[in-house]
Amino acid sequence: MAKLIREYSVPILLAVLLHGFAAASAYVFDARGASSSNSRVFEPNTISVSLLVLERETRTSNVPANLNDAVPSVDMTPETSDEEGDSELANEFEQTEEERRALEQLRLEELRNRIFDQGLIRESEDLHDVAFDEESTSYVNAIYSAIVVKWSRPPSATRDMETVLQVELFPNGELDTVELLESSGHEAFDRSTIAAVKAVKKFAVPKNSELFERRFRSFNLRFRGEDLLR
Amino acid sequence: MKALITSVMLFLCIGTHGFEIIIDQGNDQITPIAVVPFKTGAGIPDLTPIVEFDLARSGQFAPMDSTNMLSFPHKPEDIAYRDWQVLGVRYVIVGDVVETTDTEMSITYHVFDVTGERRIHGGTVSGSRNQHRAIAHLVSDEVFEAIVNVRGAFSTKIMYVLVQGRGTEFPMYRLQIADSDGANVNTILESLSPIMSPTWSPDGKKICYVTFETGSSTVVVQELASGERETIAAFKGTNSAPAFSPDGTKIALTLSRDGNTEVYAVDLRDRDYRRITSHRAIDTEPSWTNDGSSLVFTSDRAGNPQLYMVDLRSLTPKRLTFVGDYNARPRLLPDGNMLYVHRAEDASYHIVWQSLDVDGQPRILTSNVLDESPSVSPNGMMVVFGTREGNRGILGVVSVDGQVELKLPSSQGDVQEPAWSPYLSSNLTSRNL
Repeated sequence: MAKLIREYSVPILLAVLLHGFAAASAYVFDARGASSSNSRVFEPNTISVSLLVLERETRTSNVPANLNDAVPSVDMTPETSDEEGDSELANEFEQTEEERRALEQLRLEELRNRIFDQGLIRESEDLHDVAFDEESTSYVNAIYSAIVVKWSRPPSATRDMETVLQVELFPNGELDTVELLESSGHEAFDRSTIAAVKAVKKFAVPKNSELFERRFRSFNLRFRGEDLLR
Repeated sequence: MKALITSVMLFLCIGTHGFEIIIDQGNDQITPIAVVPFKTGAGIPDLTPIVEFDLARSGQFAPMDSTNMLSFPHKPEDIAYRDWQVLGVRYVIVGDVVETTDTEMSITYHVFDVTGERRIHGGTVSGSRNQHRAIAHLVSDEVFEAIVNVRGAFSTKIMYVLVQGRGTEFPMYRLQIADSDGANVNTILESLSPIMSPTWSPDGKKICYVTFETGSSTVVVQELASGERETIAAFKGTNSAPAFSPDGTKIALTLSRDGNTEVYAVDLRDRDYRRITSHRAIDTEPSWTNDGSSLVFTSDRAGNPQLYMVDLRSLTPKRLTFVGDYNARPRLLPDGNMLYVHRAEDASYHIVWQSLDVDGQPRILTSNVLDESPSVSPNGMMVVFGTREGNRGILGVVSVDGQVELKLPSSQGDVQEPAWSPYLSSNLTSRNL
């Protein structure tokens, strides 16, 4: 038996190797074909699915953040107390001062109501991402309102004055830098716009860092007093 | 794959750099400021309260109480912006008042923008010590201009008629001129008969008014320095409501010498009386437009008093007011818009503002019951007017945007018909730093 095996060993080995090779090659070729065609179909699917999940996560986490951030950022109550610079002289106008404050309160109320109807965005036309826009609108509104409330113009301001500032924010909404991009040619008016931005200590910005980087890290503010008398 | 998406995102970031938010309305507030008590040498009058009161009554500023200040700087190098930021102050004014000779004094002052953390203006004003109020007012003017970009009008004067003993047998009428803060009252004319409609010449050297000294109305021009008087109109009937033209060569006034009450313009050089209106209704209270080409006047030609504008070449009047059944006493503002007295539906009288645009709507500025005779400061920022407190006539001041209204403290008697002076020349020396 051992002799027999020894005599046929070479052809048996050859046969086994050949069969093995054939089977292996068939398997390998078949597997390669199958795996490559599968990956072509499924690979993008799995990638896009994981992306969708990512996006959905951020969006759901951001919706409540929107509302929570936007509301306190438009806090206007400390406004009047800021303005109280009592002097000995002020006593002489006490009556009118009280009336003024009452009127002021009324005006703020009115302003607050008006503000929420108007979120004015203007951007370069080349991009229109609906999902991002819907999300940024509430932040834009909050930034708009926060600045409007703080923007006190000099009495010399007129409707035709226009100043553009470039604002850069930190991710937590605090002001990094504010720079004069286009002057109105009227120093007091320019100063009033910068003071308004600086007076807003913290802006409401999205926690979504993509949206923040894209829209709120750096943006422009165009000031023109359309509500002015002249 | 992720790297690819990130790089696309980055690209989009760059693409949206033009993102812009438009701020189209504001919330105008009185600006909190700090007038730090000036460093003042012994025996020199303190200018701080005068400057502080000037800025406060401008209606634009609320000076803070000095007891709440955290530091008392006098020089630029002593300013700690943090201190003032904490207090919510927008601008800080510091000053150093010194005696330069036995009779002369001078103040060096600086204005700081607390938000911008920089000095925006400074100057030295000097003059004689008995002019210390004028020195303070000039400092206020310059501070105001530095902050607001509009020339200050604190160094100006207000003329008015003071009536004492109204309702008695012998009421006394005085034409007085005071500093714009009510100090330094000078009586120009004293009379037992009424004095009305005082007004200034554009150079501030002459005044014009209506007097009844002769028993009937007379329009008189008086030179302030010499007291010299000249009769401009003493015709039969009404002689009233004079107004100097912007170049000072003419006076518009109301005369009834031709039978009906009409507006005329008299050339002071050749005494040519030119009739401007011709209507059987009453035409009166002329006021010049800033270029001197037209007059705005009151007429009841439509059945009740309304305002009209007439071009002096075409003489064709155009109606300006359409709201309410009483609009009178027009005054043009330096920016070309106008103020007048409007009777509201509840029969109260207010000073209103109206633009001269086609569809100009009146905007009520004052809040009392009987507001009359508006007169505008030369910088167009403030309006002085006559009003009533109890049964006394007093003066009110309102900012031209209607935001701030205050009453000027007055002496005994009725104060009426205020007229704000133009800018007046000054003999003080002022130097920017």
